[in-house]
Amino acid sequence: MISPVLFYLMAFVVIFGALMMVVNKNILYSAISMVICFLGVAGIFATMQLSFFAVVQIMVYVGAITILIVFAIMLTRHPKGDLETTNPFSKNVVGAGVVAVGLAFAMSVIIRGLNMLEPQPIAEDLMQQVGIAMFGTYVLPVELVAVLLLVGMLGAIVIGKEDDGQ
Amino acid sequence: MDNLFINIGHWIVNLVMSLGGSETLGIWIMRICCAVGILIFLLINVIILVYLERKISGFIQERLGPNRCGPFGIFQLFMDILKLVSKNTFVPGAADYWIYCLVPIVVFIPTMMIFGIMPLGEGMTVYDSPVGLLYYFAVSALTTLILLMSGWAANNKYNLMGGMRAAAQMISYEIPLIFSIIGIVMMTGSLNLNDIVYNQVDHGWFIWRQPLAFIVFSIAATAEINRNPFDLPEGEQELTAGYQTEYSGMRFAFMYLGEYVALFAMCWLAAVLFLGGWDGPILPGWLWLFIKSYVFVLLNMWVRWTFPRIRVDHMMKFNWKVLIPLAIANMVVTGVVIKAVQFLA
Amino acid sequence: MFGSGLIKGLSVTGKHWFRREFTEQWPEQRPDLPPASQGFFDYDLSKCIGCGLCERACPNHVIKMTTEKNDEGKKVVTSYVMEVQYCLFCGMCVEACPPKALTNANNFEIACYHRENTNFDFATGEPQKLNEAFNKIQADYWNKKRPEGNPIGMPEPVKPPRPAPKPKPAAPAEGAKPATAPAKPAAPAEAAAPAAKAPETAADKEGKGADE
Repeated sequence: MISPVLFYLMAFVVIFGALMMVVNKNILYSAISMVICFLGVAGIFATMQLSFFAVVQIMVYVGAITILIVFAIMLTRHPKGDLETTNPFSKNVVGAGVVAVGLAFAMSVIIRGLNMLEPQPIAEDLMQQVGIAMFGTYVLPVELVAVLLLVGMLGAIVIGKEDDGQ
Repeated sequence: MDNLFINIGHWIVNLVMSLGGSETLGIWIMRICCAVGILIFLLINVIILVYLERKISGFIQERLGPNRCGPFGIFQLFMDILKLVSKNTFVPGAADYWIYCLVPIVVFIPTMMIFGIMPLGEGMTVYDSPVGLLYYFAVSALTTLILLMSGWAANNKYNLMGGMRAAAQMISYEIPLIFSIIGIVMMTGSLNLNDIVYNQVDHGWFIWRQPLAFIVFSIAATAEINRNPFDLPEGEQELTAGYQTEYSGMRFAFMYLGEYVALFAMCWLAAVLFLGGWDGPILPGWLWLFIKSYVFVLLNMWVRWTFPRIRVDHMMKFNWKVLIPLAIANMVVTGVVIKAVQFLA
Repeated sequence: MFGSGLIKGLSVTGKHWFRREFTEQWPEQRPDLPPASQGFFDYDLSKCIGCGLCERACPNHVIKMTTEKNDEGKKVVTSYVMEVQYCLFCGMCVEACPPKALTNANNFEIACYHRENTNFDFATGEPQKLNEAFNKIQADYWNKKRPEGNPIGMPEPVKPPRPAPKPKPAAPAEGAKPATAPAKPAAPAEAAAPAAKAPETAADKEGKGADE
């Protein structure tokens, strides 16, 4: 169903973005590579005809989370003051590499052993199905998530408020 | 004549097939021609828009705009671009080289991507996506990030201030923009732009059916594309600088043109959403859409040369305390009315 | 309130949008210069007595004059060079000239491409040709093309009127004053009206001063 060429292209973009993000010494370049990674993930959604999720991925991840991270980078100062060395490799590169490779191997073994669902055709009215599911079947979790977001926002405002001495 | 672009598309496919290619090759070549055609269409429109802006600003200020370069000054923009091309393209020494060079290239891209899902006429959409409207807002979010990077890259405090204010303004005003559209989406039942236009053809234009949404949308859209009276990020050029300082020559030209492409895209979207798209009596649909979007462009320019700039704290207060409650109220009332009508009928 | 101010602003701009523009498109449309506007200079070699007061009055030492005694022992000006690139156009040289040999012309189109062309030798008569050319262009424009129907032709430069002589304090204040308004038959009517008003108001002020 997914054309393999497109999938491998998008997967390459995702992995390239993620690698650049981890490897780059400059933290701002890492953030930009993160954008590439997210766009690749949106592309994978798009190759699977999941248009809604691709668009929401861009809107939420690139449009909100990346901006949040870039603001955090811009508003905090590296103690040495030089942006070039803000994201160096850790000292335990070899050990971390061994753990990462082992983890990837274990995950691939487990995922191959699972019984996945058969790929089902995507409904024509994907948007409407998502809407009905969100506000029909699963309305309670959606409302709880909304309350959670509200609490998070209030917490951020309270923490960030200036201390008036009250 | 009504289906001009569809006919052109068929003509291209037939041309390729008559030259011996297969149909899929013809369709692919037609798609590539579509993409290039949209690019050319946008650039021509931006040229017209910049000329219109200078002339209209002149007429509103009771002076003539450019009128020496060519008849009625229509070649002025070409001369300006020649001047900008001939400037010394330097990169400031302390600036972030890769991001500085990347930003003017990337600032054009999101706004051009938008025209992939915009209907140019009846049945003439490059890609008729089921989430067209949401795609537009996702792409606007890309623009926000790019402005922020442009503010950072030049290593200049004015740039950074302009970029931060641009980011704050754009992410704040996305919220009333989207909320005001939700009333339309509720009444239509779909995010597809062509469905919205069909709904308007059947039941009447949304500017009459959702007037509050129209007002909120106009204000939020003007703020979203950084136009007066919300052009703090760039209009600070007169006070401090804005996110376009330190970009000279062709780089500045790209960012300037990117602003006008964003204006054009927003006015096109407003024409599709509120004024009925390609609905109209005598002229072909794409011409009506053109005229309607230019009505909005003229309105935007009129507003630009009338009002002074809004202060940054007023802008934030206005957004969070006035526009968002209005948009939410519009959503609630629309929902109640829809359900009431369903219940009674 | 509720955007009524915004609508009012938009209506103001909307009206201005469709009004006639008042740009003066030079060089097709020439500016309507007031009569006493300062531009370039007009130098009359026949009137100049070579006193050098203008040279001394100039703040920037723009004027450089050489004179010599001719056969009859009379002072004659041989060269009168103005380095206009340093000139402030303050007009002190024009004020200082006793025989009014140096006067203001209305010519403002004296820009050139090289610095050496800004030194004008007025004794040769070449710079005065610039003024003649300028006056001709202005006269051509005003006689041929009028933007709005203004009946009179090109406004002529009018010399400011000499002030009325001071009245004796014993004479009655109101009766004799209007009779002393200077008669300028050459001046156009509109220039004569403010010219007639100026000594009248000056005389009225002096009359009131005499009353108090």
